[in-house]
Amino acid sequence: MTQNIAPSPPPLFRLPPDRRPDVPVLFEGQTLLALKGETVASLLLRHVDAGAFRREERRGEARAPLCLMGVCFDCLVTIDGQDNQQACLIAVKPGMRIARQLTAGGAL
Amino acid sequence: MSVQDHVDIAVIGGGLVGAALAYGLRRQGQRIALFDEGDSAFRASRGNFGLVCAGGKGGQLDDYAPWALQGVEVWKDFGDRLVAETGIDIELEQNGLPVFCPDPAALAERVAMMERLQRRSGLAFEVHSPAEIDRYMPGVSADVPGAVFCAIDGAANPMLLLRALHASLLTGDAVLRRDARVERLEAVSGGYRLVTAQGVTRCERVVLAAGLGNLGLGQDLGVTLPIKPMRGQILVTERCPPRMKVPSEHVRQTRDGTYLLGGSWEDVGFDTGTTAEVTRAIARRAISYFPFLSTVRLVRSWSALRILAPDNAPIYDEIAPGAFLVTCHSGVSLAAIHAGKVAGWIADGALPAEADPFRLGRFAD
Amino acid sequence: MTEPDLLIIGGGIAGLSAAATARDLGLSVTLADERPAPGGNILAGAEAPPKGIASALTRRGAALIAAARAADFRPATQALRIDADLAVQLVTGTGPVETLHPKRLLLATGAVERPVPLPGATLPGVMMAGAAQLLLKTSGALPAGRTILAGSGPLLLLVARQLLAAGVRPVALVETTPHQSLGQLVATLPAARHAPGLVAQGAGMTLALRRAGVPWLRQASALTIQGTGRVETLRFHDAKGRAQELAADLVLLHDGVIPQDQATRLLHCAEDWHPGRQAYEPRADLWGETSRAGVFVAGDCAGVRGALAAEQAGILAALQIAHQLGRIDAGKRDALAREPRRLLDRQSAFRPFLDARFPPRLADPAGAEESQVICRCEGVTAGALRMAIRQGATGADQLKSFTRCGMGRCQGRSCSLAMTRILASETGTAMEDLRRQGVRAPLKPVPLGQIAQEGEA
Ligand SMILES: Cc1cc2nc3c(=O)[nH]c(=O)nc-3n(C[C@H](O)[C@H](O)[C@H](O)COP(=O)(O)OP(=O)(O)OC[C@H]3O[C@@H](n4cnc5c(N)ncnc54)[C@H](O)[C@@H]3O)c2cc1C
Ligand code: FES
Repeated sequence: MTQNIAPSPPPLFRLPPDRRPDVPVLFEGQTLLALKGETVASLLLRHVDAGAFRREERRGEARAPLCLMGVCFDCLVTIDGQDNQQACLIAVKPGMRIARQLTAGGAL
Repeated sequence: MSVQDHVDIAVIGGGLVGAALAYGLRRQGQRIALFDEGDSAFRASRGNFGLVCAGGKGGQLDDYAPWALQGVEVWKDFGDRLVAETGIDIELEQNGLPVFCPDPAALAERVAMMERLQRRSGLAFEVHSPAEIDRYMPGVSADVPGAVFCAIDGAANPMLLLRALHASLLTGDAVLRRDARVERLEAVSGGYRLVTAQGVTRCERVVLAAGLGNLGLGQDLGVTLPIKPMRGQILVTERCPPRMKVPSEHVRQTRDGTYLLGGSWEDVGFDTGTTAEVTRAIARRAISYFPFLSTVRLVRSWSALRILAPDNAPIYDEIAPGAFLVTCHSGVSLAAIHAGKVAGWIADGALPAEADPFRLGRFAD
Repeated sequence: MTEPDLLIIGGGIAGLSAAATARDLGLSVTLADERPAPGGNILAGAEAPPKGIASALTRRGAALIAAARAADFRPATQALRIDADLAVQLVTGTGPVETLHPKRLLLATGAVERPVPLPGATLPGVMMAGAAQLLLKTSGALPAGRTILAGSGPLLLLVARQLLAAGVRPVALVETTPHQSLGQLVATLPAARHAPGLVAQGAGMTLALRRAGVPWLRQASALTIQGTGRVETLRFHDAKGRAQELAADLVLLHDGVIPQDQATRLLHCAEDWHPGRQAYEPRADLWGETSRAGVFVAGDCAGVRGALAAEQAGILAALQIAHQLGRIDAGKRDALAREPRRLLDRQSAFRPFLDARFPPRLADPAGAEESQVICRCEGVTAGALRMAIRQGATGADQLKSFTRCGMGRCQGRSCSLAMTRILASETGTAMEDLRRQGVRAPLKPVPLGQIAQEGEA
């Protein structure tokens, strides 16, 4: 059974005012500005509700990054067309295309 | 701790062969004890591909062809009963199985062999083009020359099969000795004595079903067995959405959605490691059959040792009075017939003429 | 064929300091780390630390990182398989696999936070406290909503204080650390004596939290997290056993750290159960060489002793490797090792104090409810594991194959220790006597196409 990712309470994280993101990336068709060198997970945690990047493939439960150090595999996203990449280990690049994996079973 | 007990039949080996025999013997009303090694044992049962198949079996021993076919034919009843008894879904499917051939020459060779086997056993097969394969395994490369398809073949989940067989032995009076490697097997008057670290068991009959462990047990009874290990490496991928309707010999999608990719044949003794070279070769072949696999992630690789007789066929024999030897490579395909007919032979205490082609005598010269 | 003298896996403080020492002694060094930037956990973001994080250590770290960047440093690079002859397959990003043949291998893969199988721990909005700290260090990002810190360990208190310093006031700090009697604390004093600075640092941390007036609930137990699709509340029992409930958007959990040991386990390095630290640790000699000749460990992956110890352990490993490769004689090695060893011993002596003060308490898998998910990837519950054990899976590998626990994408990283704990308690076996689940190549999931490409023109 898939459960809904709740609509819009704010994302889990924010930047302090002195940080100025200026690297444009494309998130599901929308341009977001990232900090130079930050990871995709770091960026998305400021933009995705509850940080839910994916649904796991057995039951479609929403999952969000837990460890940010490559251990839990709950941060998987599609980057430039390749599925199941660990968002916490990949740095943003200008023009990178990023998408959540919200259908149970990935985007294959 | 020292255990002293007495049973009718002791089965040595808790892999797919021993567990299927134990299961069958229980159904025949025998009081059995099953001896199994600990976690570090060489376990072909845990490392295999799970195919239930008759296609191709008997290439070097004619009589194996009808036997393998019979084994596959009785699988469904056996599987249904096991699932009903244990509640463990062993994921059996018999919707057919293609064997891919890398080039036209290999395809012609395979067809010639299947024709020969068909004359012996009546096993039906078809030759499929990539377009036909694509209907049940979508995404197959148009460059594949073709596959030989047997409609009766299929696959089960070998780990759940093993688990179900073990679970079934928990009920009733079977004696289960886990982490109990049989160190010594001795003939004594009226039967056999099994010595483990935990103690001694006396039995009237003993079944040697310990895979490669049978080499040492046979030696205890003065018999040298012509079996040897043949390593197979297997790769498994992450879960993917369901796509494949049937398994094939080297690529199968499991019920969980993972792909299993096999299977090397390496004569490297008792080494259960994996190698970069074979991993690469298996990945390349799988991608050449199914190009979409190139973006699917490998999660794990392992190897297991096939237990191989010179003609790849099973061995059934009574190597000393009341000491039965059962060893084979295809423990999944033959699980049903081992639990049925072969367990029946052992319960009766004698092998019938039907077993003759599978005796050790065939390797005599 | 690429044949560096030394290949280091892991660019945390241990790997970085080993690389610097080895290069100073004339060795050719390749340093690989799966993260996009060097620094590991303690030095993450050390090149441009946010306010309140900079310290003498980060300044030293920035110098080490600058040195590493001048060498053969490979970011975003994963070690996939390591063979007995030390052939190591590396893969960078989406490129093809490359095999290196180093003369010596140093594993400096650091620590990971102890997995916490708690009810509700898979809900979005649950994160490890160390993860929040990494975000703070690398991007300055701060929790945006109601935040609770829960669990035990020095890191939990440190993160609380760092958040306060950055202007974020947590809703509460829910500590599961047990009450310690005066006697218990006195017993650990000899250890504390070795590093009075660290004890004072701890006391300072406590004071800062008190001053800020963050509700601090001690000796909490029976934590569960509720919510539909995301975290809504944290429930627990307070010190008096009363049920409590707090609303939250983000729950940061922590229960100590354990070695990241996939690589040493892949290599079948001998390991021991460390009862004080409640973790398995690879067995190593005074220089960090494991039971596999030529394979060294340094830093937290060899047993968690903290950043300052990791820095010295990296230097010691590099000295011995330089000696084995004939660059320095034993006399020079020992002379150079004197000061690092003194510092390392001092850190190690302090450790029992922390181990005793902060035992893991948040989620004991042995006592988990039947419905508790142990394997996050495959959804295997404690009940399913116990049932399979009753059905004959009395070893860790058999248990894995009967249940799929540990067969998912994380390859057992999040569940292996918890599963072993359940196996131990169900079978009445001591942790030190259990053979753990095997680790298989590849060390991280990798597309088949990248493997197939190796060596293709
Ligand atoms: C979340 C967290 C927060 C901490 N915060 C503090 C703190 O504030 N203060 C303090 O004193 N101590 C802290 N510690 C402890 C401190 O970080 C460690 O003692 C110290 O970092 C150990 O250094 P290291 O080099 O051994 O490991 P790490 O710094 O963890 O570095 C290991 C590196 O290896 C890489 N790696 C791992 N496996 C592979 C692989 N297979 N292939 C390629 N690369 C790999 C990792 O990406 C990582 O960069 C913290 C620990 C954790 C886990
Ligand atoms: S957040 Fe855990 S692997 Fe990325």
